[in-house]
Amino acid sequence: MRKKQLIISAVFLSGLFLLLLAAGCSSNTGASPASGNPGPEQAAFIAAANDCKDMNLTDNEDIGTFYLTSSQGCVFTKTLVHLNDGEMQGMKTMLEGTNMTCSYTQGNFDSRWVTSLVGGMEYCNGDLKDAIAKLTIFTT
Amino acid sequence: MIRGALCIVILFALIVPVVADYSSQPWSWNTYTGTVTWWVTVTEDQSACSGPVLTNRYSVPIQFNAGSAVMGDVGHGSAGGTFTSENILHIDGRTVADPPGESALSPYDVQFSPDCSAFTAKYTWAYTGSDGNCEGSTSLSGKIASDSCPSSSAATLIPTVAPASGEYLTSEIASAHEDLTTDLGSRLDRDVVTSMLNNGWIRKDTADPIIAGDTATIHAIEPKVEGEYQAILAKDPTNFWANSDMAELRKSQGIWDGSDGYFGYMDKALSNTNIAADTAKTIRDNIVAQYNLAQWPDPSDSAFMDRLERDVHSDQDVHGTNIQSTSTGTSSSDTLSLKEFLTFGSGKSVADAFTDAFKKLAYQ
Repeated sequence: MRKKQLIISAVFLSGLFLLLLAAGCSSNTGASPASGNPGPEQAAFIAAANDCKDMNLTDNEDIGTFYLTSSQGCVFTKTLVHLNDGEMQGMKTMLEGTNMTCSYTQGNFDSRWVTSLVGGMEYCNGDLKDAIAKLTIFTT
Repeated sequence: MIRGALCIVILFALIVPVVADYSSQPWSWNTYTGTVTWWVTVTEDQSACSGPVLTNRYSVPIQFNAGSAVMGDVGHGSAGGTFTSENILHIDGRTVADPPGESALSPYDVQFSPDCSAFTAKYTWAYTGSDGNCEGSTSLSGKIASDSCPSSSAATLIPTVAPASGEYLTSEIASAHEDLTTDLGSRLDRDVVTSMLNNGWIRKDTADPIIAGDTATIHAIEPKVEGEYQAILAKDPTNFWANSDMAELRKSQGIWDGSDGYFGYMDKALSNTNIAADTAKTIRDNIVAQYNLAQWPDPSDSAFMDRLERDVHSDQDVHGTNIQSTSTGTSSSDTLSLKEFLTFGSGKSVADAFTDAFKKLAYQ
């Protein structure tokens, strides 16, 4: 059991490292509006992801920086790379570097995964999902 | 006037069946035969032995045999005694093994309350062993694990009314929850490895045995988990913990709709508004402590929380259902925020948070 966990952890950390490395070198960047309607870069990403194309986007939002990827396997990954200054250190510890993956079928990409913090999250897994879910219990 | 009186009568009709129904007549344990389960708070004062004052809570059976009784283990083994009056059980002194030495326990009386609901007792002990000699005391405070006195011929206490959240079910819920946590851990493990495989982050020959192992665990344990919870819900259909756990199981299985789906169980759980509010508060406190947050995250001083607050209210559609429109959980911010957490959190994450909340709330 421990060996299995080590394998999973090693592969997962390697994948996360590559994601973060790619986030720094991404060719696509875009400042996005608040939740709701997608900005131009987000719309382009959503269109590509909907066709299960390899795509990435460094998404600079007012709350922080997300790194989004889609793959030919129809898997969407969202990583919260950086939370903007002004947030509590505990919030940064809780959120920065976390990610979630969402599997879908071609033509059924949920655009809320890009434009919202919670929309469509029931189909995703990962520590970003769990951290956000924990914070929803502080909402009113 | 008549309408007001009618309301009061209806309120009493609704409230009376769910409140404790202890005996209004003096109860006599010395004539009772049968086994009754008690929640016993045991406080052991070891301060004279350079130790702490320990307080633990146990589920303890007492076997009554019309004039005598055997009390289950409260730390020094089970012990038999005889009734010296209707509600006083006398237990003789004895010496018990207490490795690496032994303890001589004083005789003591167990004083049961005349309404059958509680008992108190205290005895002293003298320890002798290779590591030294010292003395201390043990106090017992018992509360019957039911909402009513036992019926006179019952061999085992079965409550006569469905409790709102039956304390006597606590051990069953704890056992089922442990199995559920194992199941949800396997489901999460399988989902993560499957996503990694689909993304090309892990080799197929590495992923396949893990996925197969998790699937075998899920198939083995889920029928047991469902059986455990259905047994609890048969006794207490609105039980908060059983319904919320069944909701998480159904969510992980992708079964969302209907009374046997996620939303059905979630609504039943959140109909227990007081315990839902207590659970929400306990989970918040645990998160603040876990992440060393200086204060509760608040939209007024956090851009992230402000955005989350807006998104939570604008993105209420979950698997085709507007969670605001489900029947419960919208009457207070506590139940609504707990609903968000239940809905958006992974089954394993929610189950872990509920483990901590259950330990704190169910044993109060």
